[in-house]
Parts: sequence; C-alpha cells; structure tokens
Amino acid sequence: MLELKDVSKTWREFSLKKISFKVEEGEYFVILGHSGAGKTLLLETIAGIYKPESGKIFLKGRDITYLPPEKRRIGYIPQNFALFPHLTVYDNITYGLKILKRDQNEVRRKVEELSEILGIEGLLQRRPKTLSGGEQQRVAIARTLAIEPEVLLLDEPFSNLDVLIKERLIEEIKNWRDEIGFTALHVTHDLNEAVMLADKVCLIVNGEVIAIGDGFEITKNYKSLHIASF
Amino acid sequence: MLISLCFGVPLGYILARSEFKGKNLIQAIVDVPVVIPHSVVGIMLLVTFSEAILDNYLGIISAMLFVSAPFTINSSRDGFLGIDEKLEHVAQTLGASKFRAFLTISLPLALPSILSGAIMTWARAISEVGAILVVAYYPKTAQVLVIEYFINYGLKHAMPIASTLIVLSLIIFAFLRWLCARA
Repeated sequence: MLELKDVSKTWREFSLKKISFKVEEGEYFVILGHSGAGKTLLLETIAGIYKPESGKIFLKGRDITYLPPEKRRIGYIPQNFALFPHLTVYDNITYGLKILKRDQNEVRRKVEELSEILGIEGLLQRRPKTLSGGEQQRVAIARTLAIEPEVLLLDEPFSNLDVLIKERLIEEIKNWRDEIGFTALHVTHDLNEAVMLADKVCLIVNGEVIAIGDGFEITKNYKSLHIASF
Repeated sequence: MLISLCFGVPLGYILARSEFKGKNLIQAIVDVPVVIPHSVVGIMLLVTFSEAILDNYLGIISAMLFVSAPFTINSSRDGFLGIDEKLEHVAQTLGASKFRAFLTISLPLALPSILSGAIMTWARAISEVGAILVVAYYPKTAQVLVIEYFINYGLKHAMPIASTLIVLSLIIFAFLRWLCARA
C-alpha cells in the first residue's frame, strides 16, 4: 500500500539514510525511535512537506515521491495537533471537505458520524484553545479522517498527554480503527505504546532503519540497543 | 498604505518563510529608510528616478511609500513568524494548495500584526516632510504647507493648519485602530 524505497533526505545537520519499508492496507505501522532519530522528518517527507534527495515513495503502486502534499491523500497529524486556532472545531473538521467541494448534506453527515465515534459532538462550536489535550487530539483525528486519506500519519500523538488519558486513548484508537478501518503510520519513542498499538514496528536509530518486525521481535532489539548504549 | 500592503505582505511572508541567499541584504534594504535621514531619502529618490518624480503626485507617493513601507513589511514578517508553519503543512495535507493555505490559515492569523503595521505605515506616511520637501515641493501637501506658513508668516499662522492636522490625524488613527480591533 505505502512503500518507501531507499529514501534519503538531509535537513540541516540531520539525515535519513536509505529508508525502506512497506505498510500494508489496514495495517497499524509504528516507527519507534529516540528523540532526534529522524521520525518526524520521515513523516513529513512521506506527507510531501519535504522532498527526498533520493529514493522513491509509492502509494497503492503510484509514485508520489514528488507530488505536493495536497495531491497525495495522506493525512498528517503533527505532535501539537496543529488545529487552526481561528476556526471552530466544526470548521476545522470540514476544512478539507470544503476544499474537496463535498455537498452540504454529505459534510454534515460526515461531521455527525465522526464526532459521534470520537465523542466530540459537544465540542463542535468551540475554539481549539478551549479544548484539553485529549479533546484536541480527537478533533485532529476527526479533521484528518474526514477527507478519507489513504494513510494516516501520527507524530507522537500521546506525548503531551498524561498517562491515564494516554492509556484510554490507545484503547480508543484500537476501537476507532476497527470501526472506521484506516491504515496508520504512527511514530513514537515509547516502546509500550508501540507494542500495544502496532501490527508491525520499525525501529529507527540516527536516521537508519535497524529492524522491522512485530512487537515481540522489536522489544528484544530495542532492549539490546539500550544495553549497547550503556 | 494600500500600496505598501500589496507588496509588503507577500514580501513579509517570503522573509518569514523562505531561506535564500541574500535574505539578510533584502532585510537590510527594507530597514534602510528607517535609519537614514529623510532628506537623504529624498535625494536618493531624485538620483534614482530624476525628472519622473520631480514635483508631481508620483514623487509624493514615492517619498511616503519609501519611508513608511518598512512598518508593513516588518510587521507582516513578524506576524507570519509567530504562526506555526505546521498549520500550513496540515492545511496542505487536507487538500489546500500553498496559496489557499496562505489565504485561509496564515493570512487571517497574521492579520492583527499586518493591520497594526499598516496603521503605522499610514501614520509614518502622513507625517513625512523631509523627503517630500526634496522630491516634490509642489503639488503642496499639508505637511509642506505647515512648514511654508511657519517660515513665511510665523508660528501664529502655522498653528491653525497644524491643529487641523492633529485633529484629523487623531480621528483617522482612532478609526483605524477601531477597525483593527474589530478585525
């Protein structure tokens, strides 16, 4: 579904080195790595915000390496959620739908459906700055899923949330996934989060892929990496 | 003010968002009118455009624009710098072109800064005398008229025009600030 072949990118002093992996349709793929490992740069390169210097990115067999972000149909949720502060929650969610020129009834139906699943029906007329971290995250997910992207990119979505909310949201994401059915690429530095959510985990260190496998395999790799670093 | 908005906002956006060779030089050129005496600005303009701007409206507009545009450009740049670039990136991933993301996200968010700069631009433009005196003594602007009355007839005769200018400026300034607050 989403395939990266030898993608390299240098940004300031940091480099992604020949990144290759494949994400299957409907898969929850987690990229695990320490801060500064290149996770965000990788997501932004996949989203089209940065162009790779070499390598190719394919989405459903289509070469999207040099397509602008608006033509990729890849949803991106950055670490700070980046909700548009001057718009209401409703207008945030419908931002992409209006660009796609969907008719009013469809827009309303989509907002109702997503806000019900994500539990944000009561927030639609609020401004983002009045929302809690967990609520902001739900709105960001609703806004991205509204345009029905082929892949959802999540950059450390739980990093600013406290442990209890985080655990609840991880469970909820699993439920939403079953209900809506989306392909996700999620980056995190938290091994537990990766193991709890992932169908497949990719371990990345200093801009390089070290291992790809299920949670159990990666846990072994991750621990030996920790031991090696001491 | 409108002319400076037309080119100051895009230039401010480029200065805030792009990295390119010569950016510091452009920034320095933008700031030059603020730091050099305005009579020198007038002479610079005359040397550059000579007869084309001598004693005509174009000369007055050029002088006003040159000394006041930095306020719009710098305020716009600061406004855009204060906006998280990720908002534009997300707008693009939601289907907006770069231009649409600018119009619907960055521009509304930077509007208070831009308007504040535009008001300062207007204020600086209407208070300009030095450059206008050099470039276009005629057609006579109110600012030049005050100087002429003061030199030829003394303080007593210059005061009514000066007072009128103060009251007018105050009213327009208050109106623009009110508009800015509403926006």
